[in-house]
Amino acid sequence: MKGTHLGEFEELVLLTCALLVNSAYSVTIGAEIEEQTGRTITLSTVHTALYRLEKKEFVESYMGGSTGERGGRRKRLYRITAAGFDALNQAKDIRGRMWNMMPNYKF
Amino acid sequence: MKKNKPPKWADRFLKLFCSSEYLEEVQGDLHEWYKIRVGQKGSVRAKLLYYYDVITYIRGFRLKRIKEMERNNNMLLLNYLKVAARQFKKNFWYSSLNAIGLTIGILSSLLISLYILDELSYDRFHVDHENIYRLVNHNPKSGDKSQATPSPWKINMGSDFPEIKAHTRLGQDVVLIKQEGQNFLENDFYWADENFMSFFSFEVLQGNREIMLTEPNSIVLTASKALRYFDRLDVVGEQLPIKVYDGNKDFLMKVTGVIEDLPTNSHLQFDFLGSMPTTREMYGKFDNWWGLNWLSSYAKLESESDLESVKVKVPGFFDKYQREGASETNGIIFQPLADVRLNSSDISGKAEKGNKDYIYLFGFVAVMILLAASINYVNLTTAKSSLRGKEVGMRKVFGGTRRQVARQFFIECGFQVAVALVLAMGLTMLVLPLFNEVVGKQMLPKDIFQIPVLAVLAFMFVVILVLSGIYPALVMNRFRPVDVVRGNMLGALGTKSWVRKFQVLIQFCIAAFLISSTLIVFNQMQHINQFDKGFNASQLISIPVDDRGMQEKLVLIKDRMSQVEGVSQISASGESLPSQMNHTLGFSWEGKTTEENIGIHLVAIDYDYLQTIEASLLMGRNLSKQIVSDSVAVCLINESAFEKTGWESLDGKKVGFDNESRVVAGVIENFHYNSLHSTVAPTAYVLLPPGSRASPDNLILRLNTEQVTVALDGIDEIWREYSDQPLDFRFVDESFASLYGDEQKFVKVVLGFSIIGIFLTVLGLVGLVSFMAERHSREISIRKVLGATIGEVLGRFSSQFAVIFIVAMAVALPLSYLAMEEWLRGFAFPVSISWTVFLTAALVSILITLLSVGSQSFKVASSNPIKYLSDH
Repeated sequence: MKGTHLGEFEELVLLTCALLVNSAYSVTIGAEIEEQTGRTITLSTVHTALYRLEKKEFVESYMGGSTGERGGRRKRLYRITAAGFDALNQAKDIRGRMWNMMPNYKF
Repeated sequence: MKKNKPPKWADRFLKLFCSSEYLEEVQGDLHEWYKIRVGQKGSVRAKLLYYYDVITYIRGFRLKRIKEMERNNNMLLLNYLKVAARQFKKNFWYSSLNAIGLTIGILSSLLISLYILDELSYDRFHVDHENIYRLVNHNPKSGDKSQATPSPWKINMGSDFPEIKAHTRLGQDVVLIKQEGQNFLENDFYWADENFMSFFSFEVLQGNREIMLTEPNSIVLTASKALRYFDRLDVVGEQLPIKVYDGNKDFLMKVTGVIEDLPTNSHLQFDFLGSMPTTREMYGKFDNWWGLNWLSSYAKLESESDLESVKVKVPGFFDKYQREGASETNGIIFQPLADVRLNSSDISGKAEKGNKDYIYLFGFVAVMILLAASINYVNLTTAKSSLRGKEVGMRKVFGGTRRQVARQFFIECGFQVAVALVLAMGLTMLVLPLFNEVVGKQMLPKDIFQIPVLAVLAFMFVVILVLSGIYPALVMNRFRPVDVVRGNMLGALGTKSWVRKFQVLIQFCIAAFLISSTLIVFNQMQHINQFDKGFNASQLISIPVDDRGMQEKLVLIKDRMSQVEGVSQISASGESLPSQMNHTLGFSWEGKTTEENIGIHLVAIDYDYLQTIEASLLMGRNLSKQIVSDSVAVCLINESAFEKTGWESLDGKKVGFDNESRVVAGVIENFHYNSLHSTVAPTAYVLLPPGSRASPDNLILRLNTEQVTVALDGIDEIWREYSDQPLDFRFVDESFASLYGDEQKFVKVVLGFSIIGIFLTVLGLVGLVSFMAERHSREISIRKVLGATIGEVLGRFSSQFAVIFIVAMAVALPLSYLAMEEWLRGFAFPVSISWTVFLTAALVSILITLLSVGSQSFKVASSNPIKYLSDH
């Protein structure tokens, strides 16, 4: 299936999502990525990535309860699915395999 | 926490495009993100970044679905207006007809509204007018009401009615103003109490309001009179010599005040006010004279709630002063100042009166015109819009929703109606001066912007808009686009023709109603002009002799004038013709059993009176020179008085007036001494020597038809020997006509507006019928192809209207009968409503129908069928 491919940013988002158990949503994910990678993130890119992941069924979302913050607006929380975890593993395996095939370089 | 919120505009923008499915989440996240940014980078950068973030959210999958877009119609507004303009151009003839009709309708009702509002605004400019009352002298038993009140009311009221804060009076007197050797007769001169100017709120230009009428020989004049006599306004302290006719006295008056000319919407209209203290010198003890009913009285109460307690005390007040001459049958009506203009038709006395019946009539016509114009507009608009099924279909195919289509029609109508409204307002301002001239008012263009007028306009706007927009908005919307676009219009339209038929019905009703009512109003005016007054008014002239000195010599003057060539009869009388009847006394008669206090008018005449005016005797004999006692102990009474007595014959019976009694010699057939609004009251005719208030002070002459100018020259010559006044004669028939002058003018205006109303309904019918003919053009053509003649087609087409027509007549004509009967009740002598009026109305309506239906369907029926049958 064409859709199962993971983009670089998507992979990052999916990873972060898996790390942040029960509190993964765009803001926390974005902040975590910023922290981990030092990149500046636009929220909408995170969102876009999340929606794509959801479409690919790597994550599933549910609406959190409304709190006093954000003007009472609810959050859409994400959690990784089994398929998502498989995809991450796969990506990691592919990389691991390829790393193992890597000749020695001296720069 | 700091109140540091993300920029509102960005949020709004987000809301505009973001699908509601995602909005909550996205917005929440953005806000949180923003807060973090504020912490990291400061609020300015955070805000900028927020904008940037919002913009980056414009991504296809989060955009609103078209379904969600429907509320954003503003983009289409221009398109709607463009389509409206194209529609106007396409149906130029219908559309202009429509717009013109609507504009005329609004214009007419706007003018009428202004008129009515002006009538209603009378006397409301006085400060505290709610607490000012005119005191009306009322006889509860006879029902007589008069604005002339006994002068002692004022003197005693202050102590007996503590609730009355202030009380003021004024009374008219004709004066002669002498200036530079010339004499000017001034009719609108009034004596007014000291507090008059502070009681009312007339605008003072010069002088001190509080004291301008306190001194004897003070006079206050209006600005225009000041300019007339002194050529300037600062005339306080100047002197003005006047001569009072009735008292035959000369005064040198000192000007103490100049006031603004009175507003036209004041029932009091005077040019001069003389101070009341002056009159005490002239009329002696009039202040304590209960029998003298001359002055108009006004009282100011503390508050409205005092009115009841004042009313309760009235009978006691009259009881208390009975010994001094107060009549126990007297009563006082407290008439609110604002009511004086329109609610005084049954109160005798001079003052300019408005007529409530006319206001109703006028208002009614306005509503009719507006109704006709609105129905026209609604009809033509809906008819036209039913041809726009394809447009609606296309709009729907392209994603237009019902709401949008409805909105479009409302916007289109709203635009047209708004244009018509603005146009009508502009036109109103233009024609207002003309209208003012016709109705005798001084309304200003800015009066249109009064709140009530604007409210009426807003109301019209909403009603017309809703009525004309609702049909296309609802009915057109119900079509299935597929039907329409495929050309299955008939299936789509359904048969909603009953709506149109109902509107035609209403149009017919209005037309028939207006036509028949107009005819009746017109008949009534004719009736008044031609009514047999009971005497012969043609070639009769009436000359008032106000000068006391001349009155003494009246017999001599009369004798000399009777010699003049061209004078066929001459008589001296205590009343002019037409007459207000100025002397009314208590009426009693032999065998009177009722306690009722009935008044009888007393008119001084001479032996030639009956011959001169050509009134006839019902029984008995005329007064005779041969019978000496006639001059002191005998009288004539009129038919009304005779009927009151209940006698069967005269036989030397006596009638009494106050303290005097006279034998009745004869009974005069009733004749109308005043307008037909009033009935003929009991009247007695007596011989009176000069010197009393009721003594002859008028000359009445009948001239020969061919020698009018010769006779007038001769009379003038004699007149000038006795008087330094110009001869003031009036033709009696003209004076009678002028009694109805305002009325006639008014009725003409009403007639004019009715004709506009009729015109509008005809316009509507023509438009509608031509539309229907067009819709039926194929049907007609097919009938023709199959062999129908033009006549058959016309008959078929017209017969559709026959039922509607009959129903309309059955509704409108009885209604009109009832309404006009009610209106005619305002006249003492109404014309009888004849069936020919209704026949005429029906015939005219038929004619209008046939012409409009016939001409339009004839156009289709007589043309070559192929024109309508070939596919275009």
